[in-house]
Amino acid sequence: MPVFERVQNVLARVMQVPQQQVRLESRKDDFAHWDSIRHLDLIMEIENAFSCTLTMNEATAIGSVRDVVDLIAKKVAA
Amino acid sequence: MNSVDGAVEIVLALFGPSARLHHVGLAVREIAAAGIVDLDVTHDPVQRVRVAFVSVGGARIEMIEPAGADSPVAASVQKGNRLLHLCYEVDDIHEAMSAARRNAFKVVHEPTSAAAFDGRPIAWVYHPLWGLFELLQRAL
Repeated sequence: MPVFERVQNVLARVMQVPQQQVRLESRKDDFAHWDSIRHLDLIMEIENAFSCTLTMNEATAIGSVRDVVDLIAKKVAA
Repeated sequence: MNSVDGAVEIVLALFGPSARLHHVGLAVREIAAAGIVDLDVTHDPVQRVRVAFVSVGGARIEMIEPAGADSPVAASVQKGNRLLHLCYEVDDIHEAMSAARRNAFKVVHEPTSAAAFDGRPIAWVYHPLWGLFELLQRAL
């Protein structure tokens, strides 16, 4: 499954929105539940889903769906 | 193992044996809204918050107000005031962080000097079940 679709699954589950609402251009502010605690849930879910570890600098830099996809793509390629 | 009114209570040392509850963090839109005279409000530029402490029935509560739109608590308080974290004071913050990692916590902020605690180091750890915890180095 492409990275975006997997990220879409995780984000939809964590932010409690339908999958179609998670678009590549969606930003943090587009999700009512995306606060600091939900952000931490998202980081841990992403780490589990992609078997990787995000540094806190990487985690705090995430502000959009595209940020997550780009970061994972970079991690997978490394 | 302890007992609470007949119910079994399991003792967990998530942050090591020295950890003791120091305070409960309550994120608020505005500390001044509490209407408490003489509150000692401290601005922490690192955490991007202003904080003040009160004691309620023996429990210390840290009121946390965002210091700007980029504050980590800014989004939380948009939905109203809410309990945010528990803070545990520990003998050795690095040992406590190691214990937290062993218990599947993620370290979300390495130790840094905290204005609200006379520069004593604090660290932040998070667990999807247990939630957000602040670790505070006990004063020597």
